Amino acid sequence: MHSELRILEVDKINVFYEELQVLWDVSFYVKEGEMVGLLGANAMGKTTVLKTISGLLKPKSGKIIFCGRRVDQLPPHKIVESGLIHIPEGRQLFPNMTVLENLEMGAYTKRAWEKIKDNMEFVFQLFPRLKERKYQLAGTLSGGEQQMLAIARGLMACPKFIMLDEPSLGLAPKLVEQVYDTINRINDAGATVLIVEQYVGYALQVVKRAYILENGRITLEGKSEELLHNDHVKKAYLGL
Amino acid sequence: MLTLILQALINGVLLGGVFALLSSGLSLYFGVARVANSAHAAFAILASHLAFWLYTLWGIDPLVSVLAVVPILFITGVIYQRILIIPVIQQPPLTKLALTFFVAIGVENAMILCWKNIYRSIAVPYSMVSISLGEISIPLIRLVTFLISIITLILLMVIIKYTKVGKAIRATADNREAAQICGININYIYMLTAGISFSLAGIGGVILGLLFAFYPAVHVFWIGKLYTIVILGGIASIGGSFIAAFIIGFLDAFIGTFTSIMWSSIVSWVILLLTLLLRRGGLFGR
Repeated sequence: MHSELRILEVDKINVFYEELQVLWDVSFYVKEGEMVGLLGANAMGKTTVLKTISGLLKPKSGKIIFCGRRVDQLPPHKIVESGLIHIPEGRQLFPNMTVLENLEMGAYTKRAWEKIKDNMEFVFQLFPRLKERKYQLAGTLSGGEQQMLAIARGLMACPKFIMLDEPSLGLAPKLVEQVYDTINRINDAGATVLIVEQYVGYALQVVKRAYILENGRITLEGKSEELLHNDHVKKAYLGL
Repeated sequence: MLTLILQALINGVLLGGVFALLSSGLSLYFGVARVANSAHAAFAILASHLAFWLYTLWGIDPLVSVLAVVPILFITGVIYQRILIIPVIQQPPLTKLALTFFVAIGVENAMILCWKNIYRSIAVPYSMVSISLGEISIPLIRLVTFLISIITLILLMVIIKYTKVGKAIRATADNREAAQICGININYIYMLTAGISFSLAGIGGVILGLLFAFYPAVHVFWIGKLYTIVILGGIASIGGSFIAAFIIGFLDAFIGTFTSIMWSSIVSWVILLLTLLLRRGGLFGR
């Protein structure tokens, strides 16, 4: 499914929280069908990058191009309509709504609402646990179940491109594997994937290409096997 | 004595339903858009006046004219959110509270300018009819307005619970950012919520006009009562304010039956203070 077409291009974005600059000239791209990592330790600005792409934050300067169209000044719901889906870290659910209602909200756009039945079946197949807990409030789910629900909700949107924020956060190792299996399947099914992850070593085994974000700047980029052999990566992230 | 108590209980239920309707819009708007709308009662009293004039000038029964008052208030709510609230939505709560307070004063003054600050009541022919059950009498108008309130609240609940847009309203209330990344246009949801909240104030205002005498400045009395109800119930909890509305309704009915209704406001304020001091989240707040 690889093509040379850059489905997402982030071009020198600078992002501020109030007066404080958190992203500095961040540039990267993702080609259609790729699975790319945006890696780095905690509080380095990874989540900020995702929030800016999904329109929750506006860059002060720079461009974000998705499917050939500038999206950096669009409101979040317009960006969702174009098929760019942000799957936030697991606590970002609707805690007082049921699992089923959370999934329905994932399919809120017109395009997705038409396929809600098929997609619901698909995510229940992927996560049978969620089917068992259909009528339970999302806030009462365990951490792992919440993470599954966050991913499932994102898949309800008929994504062309999904951005996952720390899909392994707070999960038992076995679940982490399961979650990454799922992400692989989604990628195989044709969706382009951008993964934000702090477990750099683990993520580099899953993605083909990655960027390392440090203090709000992209400091390294390359194929995963190259990064795995990079001295700085080895020292800073792999404990070698 | 037993009759008196029974009578007070019935009055309490009938009053509670109306209070529940009036406070539902206030807590809905707060829960979704985080706007404590101090102008809620002012717009309700505006609706009372609209119903009054439609009845006085053209003889349109308030129970009919409410069908015109609701869309007017709905549009007013949408414009209110769009023009006044959206520009300050990121500001601290106090800014929004002050803004809505000044709007309330503005609406009051506009009403005074147009219609003078005098007592009015809507004297429909059936306002004196009562249904007697032994020694207990139920004013027909109270029963009818109670039923309208309850039906409206059920309708509101059905919309919020089961429709797609209702779920989007709850989603926005639950987690604003998550709603946005699901593709929900939260500004649209805020405007819609304001419209619904104002519509509820409109129905409530027409009912107030049928039940009580009113004048432009009386909204201050009512917003005090409504804030007491929503804070007692746990602000932003529509279910909580529903129950709190009946508690206050019973209190008012008993105060009215056994002492003077003059005490009603004071008791309300004491409850408000005690809630804030002892249980800030309200009875059912999180």
